[in-house]
Amino acid sequence: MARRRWRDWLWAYLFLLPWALGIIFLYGGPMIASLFIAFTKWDMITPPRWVGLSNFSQMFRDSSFYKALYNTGIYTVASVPLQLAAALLVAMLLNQKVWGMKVYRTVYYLPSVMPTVAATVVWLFIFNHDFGLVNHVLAVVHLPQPYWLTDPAWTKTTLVFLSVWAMGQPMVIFLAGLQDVPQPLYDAARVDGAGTVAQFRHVTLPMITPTIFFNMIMGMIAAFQAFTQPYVLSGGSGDPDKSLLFYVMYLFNEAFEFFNMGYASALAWVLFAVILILTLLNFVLARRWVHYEQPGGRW
Amino acid sequence: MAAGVGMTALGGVLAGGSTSFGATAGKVTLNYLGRGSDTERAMYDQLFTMFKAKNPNIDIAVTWIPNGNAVDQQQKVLTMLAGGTPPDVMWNHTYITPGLVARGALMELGPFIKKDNFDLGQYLAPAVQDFTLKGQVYGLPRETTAFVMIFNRTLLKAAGLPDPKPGWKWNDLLTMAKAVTKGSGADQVYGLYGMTNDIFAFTVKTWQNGGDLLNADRTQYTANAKPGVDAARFVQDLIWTDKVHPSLDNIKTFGDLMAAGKAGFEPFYTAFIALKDAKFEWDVAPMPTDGKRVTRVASAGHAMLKGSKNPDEAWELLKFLASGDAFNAYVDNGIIMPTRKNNFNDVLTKLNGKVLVPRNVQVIRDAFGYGRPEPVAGNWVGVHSTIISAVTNVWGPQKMDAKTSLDAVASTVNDLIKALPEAK
Repeated sequence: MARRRWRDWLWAYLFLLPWALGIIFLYGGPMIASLFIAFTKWDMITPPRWVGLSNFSQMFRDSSFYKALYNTGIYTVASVPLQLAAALLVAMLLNQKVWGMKVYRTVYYLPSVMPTVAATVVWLFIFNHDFGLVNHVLAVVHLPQPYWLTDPAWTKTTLVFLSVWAMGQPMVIFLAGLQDVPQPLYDAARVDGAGTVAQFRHVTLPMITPTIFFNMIMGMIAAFQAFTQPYVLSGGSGDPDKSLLFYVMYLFNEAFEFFNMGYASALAWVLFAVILILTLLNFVLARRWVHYEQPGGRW
Repeated sequence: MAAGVGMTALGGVLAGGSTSFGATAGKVTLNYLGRGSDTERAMYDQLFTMFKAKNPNIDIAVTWIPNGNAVDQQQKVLTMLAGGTPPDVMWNHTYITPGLVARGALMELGPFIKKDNFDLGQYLAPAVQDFTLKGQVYGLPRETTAFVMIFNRTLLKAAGLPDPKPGWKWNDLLTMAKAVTKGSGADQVYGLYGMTNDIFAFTVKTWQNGGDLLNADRTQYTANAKPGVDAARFVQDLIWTDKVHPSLDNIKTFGDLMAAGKAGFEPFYTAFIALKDAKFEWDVAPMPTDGKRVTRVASAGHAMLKGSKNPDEAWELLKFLASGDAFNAYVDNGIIMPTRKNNFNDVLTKLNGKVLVPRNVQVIRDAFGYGRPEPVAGNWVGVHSTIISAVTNVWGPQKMDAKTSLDAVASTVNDLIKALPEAK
């Protein structure tokens, strides 16, 4: 038995090896180097100069840092729940037994495989103030028509819409989660007189909480790392009025526009810490609302 | 991101400086860093073949940034320097020269020029100045551009308007732009477009108003003084009051309205490749002015890197890229404002009609006479992007007050100037 266990252990680690080697050599080395650089002033040409914690203390005095953190935080808080709700709704619709369902599923997943830059350019037309479809509809129902792309009060809202539109990935995961809910539970609920809403509330939702949790964590991490869409929408500047200056964009600009590699590395590590803390916090809170079907199925 | 930054850094730290490039006994390989279109790449390949025929002991390895600009070039060369693999020779631009000089990346060419008695007088003086810092020469120019006003003669004629007259003023432009502006929706034609592209027009207007982006010794930001504020407000009015210029929203959506034939005027530098397939008649006029006659001149060229282990061979390549043979190739390939005087005159006289040269070519010739470079200092790329942010707030739908917005970036710009203090 012990020999068998040892052999299983060996196989498991053999299969894990490529991933582990990748982490150690492709990520580990650069991460250690960037941690070192975070304590230096370095412009990529002259040798790095040790500056201790000054890159980190600089953040407290840097208004752009707060702006980027604020923009990213607001976007995360707004986009993640909306994207999850939309993805779950669509997944439930796509979980019906209707003719042509594979086509519908493909159509709803398509935005997720579209190149982000191309998709964003299309949305530039849809959200155009004078000629865009969105404002055209708003005009028909006599609602104000904002400058979605160039008014700092609205630009983040535009990005949230874009994130909801590209919900294919969480949608597919929800779909898999929904199909994992045992049919006998629905049958039993129906016998007990539960209607559609009650079934959703008392059967579907509790059973897919691990899926919701997974999508929420992944969505939060992706939102904190949002880059391409705000970069394309603002031409890399974060304008108007830095309303689209997202954290990773700011980090990128500090590194590759201003060549403050030390500060950029410090920013990267702070982001890592923020994401790590929020993820751990979510794991702790998840004990209260995430239900696993099997004992020991927790993380 | 942290990983990427770190890897580059580690490379630089471990490499501890530059490395040589394939220097073998009797045979030298130079690394050239360039950027641009496929057409330009093909032109350089042709030039390098010519160079190798004359210098059989020198090979050239090309690193090319497809469709890259000056900022891309700066990012690439700094990354190569950090990795300990700098190129020997590179395409260079006015904006990035001071930053590279301040970082000790570029070779001072004085000793080479003296040794070969190389004549800098064969080039247009403003272009040579663009690569001269504190009296030291850091590059040989290739082409130069001056800021002029392109106009769509077809649209002007349709509106019953003549060409702009010499000595025209901004109010003349406004009157003409109003006459050209017509239509609505996606078919709208604007009288004027391009005032908000980068800060070029804003800078020229500020100069005309008697101001500048920085003070005379380039140690303090001054774009927030009255001339700059007036310039920013002027553009704001063009968009929101006079409505002859598209909003930032429409520019973002529709791109180059001049090339699309939907704009009467566009201030632009003298590179007209975007108009290659224009289905309308176009020409150029000087920038209108109510005050000082001045416009912006900027240049591109080639430079040698200090890290080159084969400086003599790199100098040979640099000289070749600044020679008559190379300039003939530049002209043939549409780089129409060559800085070599002989070729410049060729373009302005003999080649008119064969390449993208406007009929009013004298306007361009004149512009190089009264034009001036930007007051490049410190991290100039950063200064540009910071001022763009400030004026974008003025020109966007939030219509921020110009003085407030330009004041708000003062400390940032001053820091960026000081970021590389020796670059002045």
